[in-house]
Amino acid sequence: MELHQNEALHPIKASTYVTVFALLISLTVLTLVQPLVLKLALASTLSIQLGIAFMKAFLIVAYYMHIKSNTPLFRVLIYGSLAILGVIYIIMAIDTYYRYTPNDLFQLLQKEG
Amino acid sequence: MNTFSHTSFYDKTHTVFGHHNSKILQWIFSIDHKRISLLYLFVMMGFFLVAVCLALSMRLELFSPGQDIMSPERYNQVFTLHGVIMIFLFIVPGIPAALGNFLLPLQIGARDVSFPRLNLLSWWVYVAGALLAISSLFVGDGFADTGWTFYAPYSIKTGTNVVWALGAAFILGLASILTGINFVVTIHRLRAPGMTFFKMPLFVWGLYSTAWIQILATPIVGISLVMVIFERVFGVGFFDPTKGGDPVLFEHMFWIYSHPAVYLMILPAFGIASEIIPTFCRKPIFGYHSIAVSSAMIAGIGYLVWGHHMFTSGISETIKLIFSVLTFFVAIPTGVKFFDWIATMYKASIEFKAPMIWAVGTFVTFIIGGLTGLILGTVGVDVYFHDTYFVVAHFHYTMLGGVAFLMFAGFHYWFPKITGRMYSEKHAKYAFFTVFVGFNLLWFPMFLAGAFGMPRRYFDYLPEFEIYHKFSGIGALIFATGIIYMLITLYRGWRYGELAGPNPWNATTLEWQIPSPPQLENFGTIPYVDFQPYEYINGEPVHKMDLGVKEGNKDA
Amino acid sequence: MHNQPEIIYDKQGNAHVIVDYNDDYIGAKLGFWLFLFTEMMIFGSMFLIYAFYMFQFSDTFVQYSATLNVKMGGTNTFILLVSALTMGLSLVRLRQGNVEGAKKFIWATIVLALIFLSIKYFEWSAEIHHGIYPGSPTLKSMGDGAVMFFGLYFVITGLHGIHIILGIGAMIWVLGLVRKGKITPTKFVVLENTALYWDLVHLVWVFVFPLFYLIH
Repeated sequence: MELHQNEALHPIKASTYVTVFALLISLTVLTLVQPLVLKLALASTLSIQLGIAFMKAFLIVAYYMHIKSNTPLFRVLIYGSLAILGVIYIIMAIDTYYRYTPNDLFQLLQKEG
Repeated sequence: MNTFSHTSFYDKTHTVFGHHNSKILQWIFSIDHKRISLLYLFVMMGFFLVAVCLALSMRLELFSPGQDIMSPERYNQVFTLHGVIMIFLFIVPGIPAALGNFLLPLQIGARDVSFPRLNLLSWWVYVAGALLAISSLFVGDGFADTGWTFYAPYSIKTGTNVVWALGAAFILGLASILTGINFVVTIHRLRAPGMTFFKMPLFVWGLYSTAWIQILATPIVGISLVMVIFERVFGVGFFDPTKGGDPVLFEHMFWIYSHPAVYLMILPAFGIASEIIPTFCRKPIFGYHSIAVSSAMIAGIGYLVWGHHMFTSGISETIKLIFSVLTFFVAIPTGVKFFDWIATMYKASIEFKAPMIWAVGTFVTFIIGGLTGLILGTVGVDVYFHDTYFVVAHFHYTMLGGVAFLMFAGFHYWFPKITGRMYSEKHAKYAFFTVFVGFNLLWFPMFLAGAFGMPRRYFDYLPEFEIYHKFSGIGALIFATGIIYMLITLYRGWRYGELAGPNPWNATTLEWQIPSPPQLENFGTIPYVDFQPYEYINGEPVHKMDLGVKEGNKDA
Repeated sequence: MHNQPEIIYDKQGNAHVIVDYNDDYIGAKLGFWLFLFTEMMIFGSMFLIYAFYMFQFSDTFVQYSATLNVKMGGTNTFILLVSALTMGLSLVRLRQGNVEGAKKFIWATIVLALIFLSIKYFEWSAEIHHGIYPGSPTLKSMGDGAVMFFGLYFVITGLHGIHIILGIGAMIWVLGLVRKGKITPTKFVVLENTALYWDLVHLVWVFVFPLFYLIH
């Protein structure tokens, strides 16, 4: 328990904040530039934009929110909660997709059978 | 309460605003987890009785065909109010906020929960939500008539006070989240030194899994209910088909929470069973690890099966099959628990005291409820059974015959710890049998009625269903009598019972190693826990400790 | 209450500190993270609704995304970025023992948050001025996809705006605690949690901005 208390008081440095800030700014500029330079279909635009967003999110959580320097417990809990949210998204995606292309599975089975 | 030889938490407390002279203020501003748990308990049981009365009025209306005591519209409001009270005010806070609050710090060897003030706030938020729900009865067209599920688009269109009911449910969700956060932090931070996760009592495991559902699932339903409020106030249109919205999306969002919520209710109840069984079998529980892990598994799989409430709603065929398969998986960890309990009882010399009888009785009712759940989880069969009395009987067998019965088992089990006194064993047993007979008479005919096509939430029925409703009506009366009988027995025990002593059941967990009722801040000495929670040799607990007083002061 | 840490010994004689529930730094932080998880689930489910209707009305979403004011949205993105930095630096200053510096950075964050809100106000009023708001007849005449897109736009940015307002309230409260001496260079968990909250508000905007303004 004493260990935990010391570990909690890890030093934080202004330079870390400024470096991460610079990275975040450059990523943001990238998101703004992308539609001007590359005219892409919706799917590619979305994946680029969300990809950058996730990179920014990682930087914020890891450094601004000190997850890198915290006990591993926090990391486990974050991944666990994200996994649950992710699974909910996947299930909803399956439903949404197959609702607009109905009975796909059964047609497939019929063709094969 | 000065009859006890020590100063208990009934005499002394911490309050949030410093000292109050008034006894009432000392209670409602207390930040002692034991007092907060009792505050929850009394409000909750009050609402339980109200909802039981509502249920009795519905049974009375249905006792014979045609309109008897209320109009169809009133009937819709009554079953909605019954559902809202039972779900949001009774059974969701039920075991965690009342029994859990009392026992969690005691069982892990802590002096309080991590955030005592937040704990009190959670009770106040709960009371505020309850008041909002009740006040909507007297405003405008009265209480919502949508059913507790608030399905769009009807909940968008009906003229009743849906917004108030939704707001109340949202606020109650907030109270539940606060409890959940408090419990997870308490379990992570305040376990007695040496107590690893696999040395925690199984009730704590149940509370831990529940707390995670409270934290991660409640916000989803909260925001969906807010969306329905926005729908009615601003006309946003997410769930309104005339504006391009999709009502099925609301059903998804609703059940993403509300299905895990049934595990939220049952997991701590299973925890209670896992405490009672080894105590009255006087031997270590069989398969401690598998019971602990199966709690977490049920919580995990519980997130993935919400769609089995929606088999007839127009979701895609593919996802129906996935949901159906996943639903069957829930039966595995549940089955593991049952086998472990029965294996513990095997060849034990069982003491059939009241808590044990309640627990064993629950096994009977819950197995009926659980197995009919598998029938309903099968897509093809569910299309036929959906929205019939079969479903009603199924979830009452699990929720009432599982969660509430085990909660009552817990009341009897921890009654001597909470009050320091003993109830009459004889009357407690009679009360159980009255409730048990009434319960089965009330709900079993509904399986048959449902199988023959009696739809739920109907105010009237065809003549051929009359016989089932007659049986149910009589059963309901016996059931309610039994509940009153039980409460009177407990009340008499609290007022006039004999002193129970610290450990009347010869139980092994830490809450029995301190005086009953516990003192403020629970423990004088916090033990180093390097043993399993249920250790018996030859029917006697291995570790007997006196943790009530501070080490070194024992002779004083 | 217990100024000295309470210590117990196991059978081997090793000492173990009992965590004091009244003063538990990690516990306070863990509890706040759990609260952030609930926020994550709230915005997560809003984005779920977004994804659901985006799949259904993808062309309309692209079409109306182009009509949003990227300049205002982009400015707000930068403002939030800077404010997250100032909030973090206030924590750094406090931990270094520079209480006055910490206060200045918190004030800077409050000012940036207010600028964010006023830009948001002008953006919303322009749209409302054009008759685009939930439940308006103009919006209804634009078709189902538009109703969903702007419905989501107003609800999600609105929810985010409420979080900004709550954040400002929290910061003012923190300033009060600093003045009363309840937040000090050694007792800083309240400020740290407020900073975490502000990071979450920023984090949500990181996803809101591209999803609404940049998908065209």
